[in-house]
Amino acid sequence: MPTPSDAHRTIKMKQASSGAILLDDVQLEDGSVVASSGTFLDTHLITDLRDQGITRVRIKSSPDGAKQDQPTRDFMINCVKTALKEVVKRFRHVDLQDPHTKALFHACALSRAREKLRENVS
Amino acid sequence: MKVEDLIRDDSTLGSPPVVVTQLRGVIARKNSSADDIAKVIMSDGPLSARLLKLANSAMFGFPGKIDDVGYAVTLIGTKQVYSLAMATAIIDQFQGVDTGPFHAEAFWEHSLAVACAGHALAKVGGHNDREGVFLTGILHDLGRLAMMVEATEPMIVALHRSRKSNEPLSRSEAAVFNFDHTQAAKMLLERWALPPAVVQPVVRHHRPGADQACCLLHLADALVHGLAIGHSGEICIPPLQESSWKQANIKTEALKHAAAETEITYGLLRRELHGKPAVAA
Repeated sequence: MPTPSDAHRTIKMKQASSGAILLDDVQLEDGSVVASSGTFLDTHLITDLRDQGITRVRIKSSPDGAKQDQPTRDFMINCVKTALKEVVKRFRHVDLQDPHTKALFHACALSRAREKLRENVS
Repeated sequence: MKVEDLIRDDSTLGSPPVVVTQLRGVIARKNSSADDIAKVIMSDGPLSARLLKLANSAMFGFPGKIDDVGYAVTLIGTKQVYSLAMATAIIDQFQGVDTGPFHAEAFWEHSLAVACAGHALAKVGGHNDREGVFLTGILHDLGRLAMMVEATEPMIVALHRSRKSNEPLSRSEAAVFNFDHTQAAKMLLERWALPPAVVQPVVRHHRPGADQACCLLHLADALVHGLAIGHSGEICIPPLQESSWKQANIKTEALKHAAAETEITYGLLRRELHGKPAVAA
């Protein structure tokens, strides 16, 4: 039976590394959410949270939060879903009806999904 | 705040690297030769070494090893070497500036990636001055770097505003500062007396109009934001001018090649110029 300390741990943002999964929503002092629980930490998000003054976060511990030696199918699907969600967010100010922008979206989605898998699978 | 208050003589970015001023002087002289340019670059040992690494990188694909700056000027061309030397000198001088809470390394990763993306897009679009586009990529967000360094607190306010109101960071900058990073860059690069061919794409990279060099930089910035390489404070692709694709002669089917080439050349250059492996965001 895992204890609460087995299920999560608090880390300093300075020591954060990609691949971990946020346990809680990350909020600013005014309550606005800057990253949702369940999000994978990656180098971009780590930088962004640090820029916004976040110093500590709680992350899920192993087996869900650590890099996977032998990733399950669900884990890989989760990686790709997270990558796609991020890319959709990145494209929110542009019109995806435009064929070039759509092609750009596809190229970026493919790259991000590949990168996310690489980051999270040792 | 006025943009003039941001960039002063004593500002961190108030003056360009010495070698940039010297190169500008040589280029401006009508009777200057390739040797004159090579001499200026060779007077700066570390710059020469980095320039040769860049010239020998897979990105430029020159045959054989270039182990001499004079040969590089002859082979690559005066204008091209000038662009690469400027880009290298600017990274060298400013990558270590104190940006407070902002992540300087991620900023330069973004700039280097935009330079690589600009080069890749220029290649697939059939443009000749790829090195010029590379230089404007390095410079494109320098105005924002000046704002991070010289006006850190208001820049944090702009960053929070952008996240909360879900608006592009340049719009939040304008609301907080009364100017955005492109206007800061205009002030900065004109103080450095850089030519309009370099300044204009940087100033207009969010509003490129019909100019090809501006469109290439606009699209390169979009591509790198989409690929999430590095971090310049912006978390979304800024509003895209769709006519830029046509202006820059970029076909839809060429985009995946440009994206792949950007990732590869960025990875190689990051290692060669900074001695670090590429870390995609």
